[in-house]
Amino acid sequence: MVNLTSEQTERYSRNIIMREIGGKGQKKLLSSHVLIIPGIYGELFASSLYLAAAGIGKITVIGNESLISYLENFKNEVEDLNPDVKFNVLPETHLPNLQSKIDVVITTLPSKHEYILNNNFIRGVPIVLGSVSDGKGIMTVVSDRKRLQTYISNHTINNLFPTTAGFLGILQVVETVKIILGHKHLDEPERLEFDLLSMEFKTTRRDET
Amino acid sequence: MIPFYSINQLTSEEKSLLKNSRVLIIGAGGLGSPVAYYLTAAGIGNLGIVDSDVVDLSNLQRQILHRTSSLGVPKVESAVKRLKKINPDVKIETFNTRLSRDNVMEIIQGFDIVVDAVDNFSARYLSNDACVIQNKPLIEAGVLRFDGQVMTILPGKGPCYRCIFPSPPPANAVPTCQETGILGAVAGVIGVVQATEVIKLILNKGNPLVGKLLIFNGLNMEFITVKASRNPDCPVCGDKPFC
Repeated sequence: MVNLTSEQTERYSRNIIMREIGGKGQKKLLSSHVLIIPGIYGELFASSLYLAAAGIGKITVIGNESLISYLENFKNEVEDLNPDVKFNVLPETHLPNLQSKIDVVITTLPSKHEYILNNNFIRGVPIVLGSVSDGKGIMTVVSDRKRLQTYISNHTINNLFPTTAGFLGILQVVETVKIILGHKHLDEPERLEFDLLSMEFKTTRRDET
Repeated sequence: MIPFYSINQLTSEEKSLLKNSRVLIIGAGGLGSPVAYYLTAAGIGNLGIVDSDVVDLSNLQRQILHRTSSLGVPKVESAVKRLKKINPDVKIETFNTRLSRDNVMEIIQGFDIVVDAVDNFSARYLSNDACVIQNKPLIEAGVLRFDGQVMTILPGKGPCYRCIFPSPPPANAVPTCQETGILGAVAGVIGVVQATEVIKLILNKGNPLVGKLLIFNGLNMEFITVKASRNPDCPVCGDKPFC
């Protein structure tokens, strides 16, 4: 891995100074590739900006034609926030041809989970999965993609509160950073459940499930 | 157009309540960025932003309101540029100044709700005291490393900051993000909670964090709530306040 430049050392100083990250961890973040398969879209803006701020070197978003054209300006925003980051929006058909290895997939229902289930190159890649409805949501990290089915079937997005998607999207970035750094993270069936209206939260650990 | 489900699901009365509200954000940094973004996206009609700083390279690791192309620009200016792209109709009053005893009362007067997005204790206590005196809701928060905490202060109805922490810690007793670090996304999580509390108060929906300190531990991905009560002897909001 290439050494950090002095500009990068300054930009990421608040990351590097923490023993959980350090210069070594920052280099890992810079050489990682995160794939976002969006669901409700609100979450993808929050995720992308915070992934870029952290220095995730490559962010790929999969979407349809209207999302791709909408995100053209957003790409400039992300790369202006952090020029170390390459932010690409690709059509669904390109998925099987992605050149670089993916380190983490972030997806939120009702995303096109078929992409995950049917594409073998995503096999073995941790999936930070989210699901939201009104002020509530769930986040987990799935390593066996067959487990996605459990979450897919019961999904609705009624009365989505204005901040729910963003809240989930940013939480997904926290887990993604932990995964890339090799730290302990949620491991399905472990999950976080939240309700922003009642401000109730529950993190379920393996020994409790 | 992208279907922003959440905004499209607000009733017209709710949209009107948000449009007519006036929210002040003290600090346009790590917490202020997500707060400002989400309040603007939700349709808050009038924002105030206080920050005397200019954009610095090390800010961009978490302050998503700013850009590499705005290095050296006053943060309030950079904030306005970004927020107007999200909602060109939002009215933003900027205060390119440091909060002090001489200006806090006048600054907060024109707003309905105040959000504390500062990174130092003196500003925290200033805004707490001023909000209690003027009876304005204050959404208080702080972050460090992978952790954060939020509470909602409704003067007279629940504890204020001084009910829990009567006086500021000695200088240098508590480290800053500059000295100890902060993960950008953790500030993001806490900022979104602050924005959520503001919207809940305006729409009178859900249970605000009054008398509750919400504590986030990002490494364990856990949120716990600690209850706190008003202190009847609180020097600012108690039965016999100093002033």
